[in-house]
Amino acid sequence: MGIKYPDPIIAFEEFAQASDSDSSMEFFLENTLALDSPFVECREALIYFKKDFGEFLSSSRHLTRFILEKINNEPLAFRIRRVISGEKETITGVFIVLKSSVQHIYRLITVSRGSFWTETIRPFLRDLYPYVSIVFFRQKELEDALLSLEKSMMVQYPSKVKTSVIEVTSKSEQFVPGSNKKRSVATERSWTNLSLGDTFTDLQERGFWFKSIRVKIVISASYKSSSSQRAAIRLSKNGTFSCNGMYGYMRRFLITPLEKILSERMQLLEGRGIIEREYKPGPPLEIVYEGEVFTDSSKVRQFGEVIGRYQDAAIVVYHANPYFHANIADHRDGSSFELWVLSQNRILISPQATASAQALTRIINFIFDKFKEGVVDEFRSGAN
Amino acid sequence: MSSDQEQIRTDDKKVDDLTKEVRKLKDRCESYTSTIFALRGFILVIANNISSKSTSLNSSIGRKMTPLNQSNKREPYTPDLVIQLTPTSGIIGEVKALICENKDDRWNSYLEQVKKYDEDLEGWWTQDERISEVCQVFITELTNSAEIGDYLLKKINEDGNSLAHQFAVVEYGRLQRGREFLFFRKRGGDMPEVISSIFHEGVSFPLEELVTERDEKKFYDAKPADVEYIMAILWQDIFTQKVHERDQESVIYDENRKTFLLVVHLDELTQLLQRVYGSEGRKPREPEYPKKKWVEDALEKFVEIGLAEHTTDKNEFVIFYKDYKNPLEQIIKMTHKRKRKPSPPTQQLSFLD
Repeated sequence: MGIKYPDPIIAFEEFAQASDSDSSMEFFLENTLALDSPFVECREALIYFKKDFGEFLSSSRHLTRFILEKINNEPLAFRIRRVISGEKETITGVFIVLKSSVQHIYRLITVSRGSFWTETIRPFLRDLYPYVSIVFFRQKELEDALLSLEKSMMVQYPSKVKTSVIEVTSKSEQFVPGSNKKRSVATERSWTNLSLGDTFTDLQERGFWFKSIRVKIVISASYKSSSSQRAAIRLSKNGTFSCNGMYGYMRRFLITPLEKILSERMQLLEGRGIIEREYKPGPPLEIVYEGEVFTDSSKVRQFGEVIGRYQDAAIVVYHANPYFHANIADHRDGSSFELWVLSQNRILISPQATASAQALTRIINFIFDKFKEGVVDEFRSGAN
Repeated sequence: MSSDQEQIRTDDKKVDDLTKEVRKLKDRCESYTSTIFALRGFILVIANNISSKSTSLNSSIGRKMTPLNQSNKREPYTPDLVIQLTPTSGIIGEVKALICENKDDRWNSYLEQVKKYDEDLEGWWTQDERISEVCQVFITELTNSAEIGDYLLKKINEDGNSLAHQFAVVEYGRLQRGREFLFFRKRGGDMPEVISSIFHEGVSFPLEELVTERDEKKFYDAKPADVEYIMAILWQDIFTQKVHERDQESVIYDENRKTFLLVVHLDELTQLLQRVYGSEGRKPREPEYPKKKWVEDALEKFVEIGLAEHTTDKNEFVIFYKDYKNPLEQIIKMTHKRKRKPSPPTQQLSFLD
């Protein structure tokens, strides 16, 4: 049972300022923090950064919309203020940065209401690009992680655990009325009470993929504990998590395994630029789809239209139909790559002079979100 | 028709002309890229089919070959591709994606080049850099192969044009069968037996493999038809990187022009393009491309359309860099506008001034 503080946000902020180590902060989050105020959750984002994140944030010369004040070195804690011009009040709050279980992945954590996360933390993370990369997870990876969480909880609390999905934000391709061929991606938000397995099956059968999913976990009362525990955990494709309880379980059984997947993915994307490879280009990357996607030229055209909407980039489309060839230069980072669609189930991404893992993550995430999610790997000549 | 309506028609025509210009130029850019694929693909088709029969296959896209008759100390020739099939036989190839009109028998220049490469050349991968059996291959796009192929094959059979070595015309084109392929087939002529049957029936190679195998080369040893091709590569891949790379502080933003000021040097830029997308020419017989002159032409064009200016060093330029959404179209628009704009009449100074 946690100690009841009047306000978990204040409790978190005070502990973040007073704590003397990362491990005591972890202990606080896992064991002491009681999130029993409505709409207040522990929220976490996984981010990729190759150098010392603390040093980077401390210099904060890259930020124009935010003011950062360091309030502790260990754990690394900042008070952040977003200044919105024309408004009298500024949005302010505290976040901490902890290391993850793998190199170059950091955890940005806050205890807050949703508005602080949406209006301050998320824009702050976006502004940190290209230094910092917001990551992405594939549907299958999140499904497997959630099923693994459920299984681990069942092992820990045999016959006492019930998990169910309570909310899903999902996307699917829809026909545009009046057209047989053109499609758009529609978003649906639904509330349910299905099991994890049933939810995933339902989504797959209806051709949906989820952007975020909220799961309820209930651990019934037992001889060890006179009251039940319950919590709701949300996870999103872009590597963000939130919960209103059971942070320790979320950390141990859900986030830590996903960090390993993330680390492997970022290693795949690192070191791809021609100049950093000492002018010896490597093989292109591929996004492979199960089944045929580019079955006709309309689908290739649709892909081209999606790419045309890629922000903060220069796009030169050399050929749009029946095959696709374009060059993209990232205006925030200077990376450039070529995109090719030359078969029915694959997109090739050829890194050019410079191509950072952050820029590659951004374009892949965009394709997954606005077109279709696939599997990212290195293209192997002769294996196809 | 009212003057407003006339203006609309004129404006529509201008947009139409520009759209056509953009499309044609992009097609030519894609044609140049296809040529690089064709060169690489031709080598790979041969390598994949005879590698079990030969211990190694030496090949090069662009290679400086020296005529054996050095009496006039001539400049080396640089055929587009050189492939050594066996210790005693090899192929010299030229690729022509775009063929000019045969006005005033301009195709005779292609025949002259064929005859030039028919000499005994040094530069092969043998001890004395010579081989005894050479086949010359003229490789061209499917759209041109019939006419130019027939022309050359007919001409070489005429008196005075006969060749000492084998000669063949090979056509290539894109094929779509679920995937995109590059297709090669012998149009006519003779090829060494070891590869003749492959090209006689026709052979296709997946374009996806060629994207990997071309090693990101954007140039070969022939100048692109349009200077805008190099300008787009410079803007997209080089200038964007120099302006926006992280922790980069040396590029100044000019508030008056509303552009970044990026200083570049012709020699450094040429070397960078050669290293990343071409050939540096450092190894023996390795040609250099893109040539310094091609890059200089591109930079001068930037100056002409107002996107750059010289400094006091004639080899140094200041690029007025902006984040264009579509740099190639922007460049074409500006060069197109420049072509359409008549030069202002020179005014004579009044003797009273």
